[in-house]
Amino acid sequence: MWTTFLKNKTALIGGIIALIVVSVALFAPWLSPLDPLEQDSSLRLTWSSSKHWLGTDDFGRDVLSRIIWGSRVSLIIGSMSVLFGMIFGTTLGMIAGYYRGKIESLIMRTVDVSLCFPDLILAVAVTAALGANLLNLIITIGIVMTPRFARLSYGIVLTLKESEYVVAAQAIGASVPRILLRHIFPNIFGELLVAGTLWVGEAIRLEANLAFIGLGVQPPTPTWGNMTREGVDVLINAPWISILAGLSILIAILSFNMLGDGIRDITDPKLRGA
Amino acid sequence: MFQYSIRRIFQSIPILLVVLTLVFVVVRILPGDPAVAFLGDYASKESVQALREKMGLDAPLWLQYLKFLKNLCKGDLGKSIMGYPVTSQILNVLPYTLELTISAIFIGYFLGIPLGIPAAVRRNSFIDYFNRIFSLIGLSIPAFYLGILLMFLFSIKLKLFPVVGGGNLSDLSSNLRHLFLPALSLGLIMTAYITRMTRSSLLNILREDYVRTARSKGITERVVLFKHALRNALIPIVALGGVYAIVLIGSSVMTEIVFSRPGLGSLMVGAIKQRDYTTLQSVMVIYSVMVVILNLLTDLVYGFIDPRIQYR
Repeated sequence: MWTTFLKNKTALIGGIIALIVVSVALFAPWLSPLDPLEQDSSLRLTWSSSKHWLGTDDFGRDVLSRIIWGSRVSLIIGSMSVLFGMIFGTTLGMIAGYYRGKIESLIMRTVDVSLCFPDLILAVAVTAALGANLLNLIITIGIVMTPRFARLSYGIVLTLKESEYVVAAQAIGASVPRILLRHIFPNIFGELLVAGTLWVGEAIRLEANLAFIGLGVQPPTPTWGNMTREGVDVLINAPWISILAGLSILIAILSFNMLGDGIRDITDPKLRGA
Repeated sequence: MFQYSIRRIFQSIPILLVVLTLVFVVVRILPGDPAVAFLGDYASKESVQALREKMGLDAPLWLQYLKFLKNLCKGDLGKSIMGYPVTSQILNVLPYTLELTISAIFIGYFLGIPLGIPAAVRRNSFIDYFNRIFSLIGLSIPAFYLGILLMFLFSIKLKLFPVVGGGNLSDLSSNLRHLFLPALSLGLIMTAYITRMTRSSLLNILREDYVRTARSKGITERVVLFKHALRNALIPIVALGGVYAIVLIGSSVMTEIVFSRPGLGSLMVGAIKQRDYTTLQSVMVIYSVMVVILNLLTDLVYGFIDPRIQYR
């Protein structure tokens, strides 16, 4: 498995970049050269200097430090919301796939309807209802991710349910939770992980979109989305703020997409190169 | 085909109803009282109560819901917080959103199919690698960031296009100048989807037996590609246009905000900031109707170009 991973360039490059992004977020207090909230009105909108490598913003705050700290919000929301979606979505999908009948109709029709809303519009409405803070954003984006995991796990459970080892478990009288958790879940976990990696990228993008609209974690906490938004107002005089903050978002999403694509190619040889 | 279409159209009615119910419920759980939002925080209790009665907010929820559906059927979306009729507000901005999304879809197909074909035909060549990187970036880039980059390059640095605004709809040249960059930024994202789809669809078809048979008959590669393979490869590409269009509708919100264009997205975000729930509800209704119609069209087109679908 590892040798295949190392041979797959997409997965390898994506994995390395994702690892760097995650490390930046984890070690932000040690990597960040300055306090991201410290203002210096004498140094507003100045470009690179020995003290401020990537310049300063409209309040004289260090752009590099803000980008480093901003990675935390994106990654926490990106990963936690996907985890939220994975837990709730997979549970719903497995129940629908296993029980069939009315429960299946109720769950899967609701899933279908929520999947036909554009993600952003659903997220905007839910954020407006819940309010914009870290926890609520995780819940909001988690709600958007839930139907995707439900649909994915539902499809797999439908086929797995007929497999011999599940029938055997039923025959020896194993309880339904036991069959779902011990026999079916381990067999869908791989696919969930691949999809989850790809959807972390989606979740990061959704968070950035919400932050750009003004519905993300509120200033002065730095997030890549609200930095890009603030930079647009001074795009003529200080283009680096928006361009660098946006570039960070792009790199993070790209790395998770490459990693997810690569792992999918490795785990499913039929899709290789398609 | 006729039977299939009728069946499919009837199937979308309950979906539309469920979606509309969802919109109604989501807007009702938003925090804050619309009457207070309308009158301001310092309004007296009596005037708030009077307005609640006038807006029908004191009625039981099911009655409000029925009234919501009834007014919707009449095309009446209510009044915004500023007192303007929402229907006309939406009709004013809808052309801007439609021209943006339609031109982006057009750009996507216009560039995406010709880019995807050589990538599939010459697999692992330079053009294939270029294509894969291009579509990976296109699928990853947030719409607002691409908009900012294009705006910075073409409007601020090269001064070729206006920086913000939607232009005048009745003046074609002003309209096109304002439309170009937003449409290009959304269109490039669409191109990434179409390129990737064209490549993988064509790759699958080129492995089919009938393509090998055609080649073994001595038909030129050109005819095999364009007559035998591409025609079949186009089925999912064309049919999935609707699905991509739904993704685009979401991204168009961001593009409209970056370029300060009038449109449904700007209207929606403005409504949230002003706590204007009537407008928010109406914009969401329009978006959901658009999505249901697009899904319906996708299925109909799919059924038309691939008759096997009709019998499933």
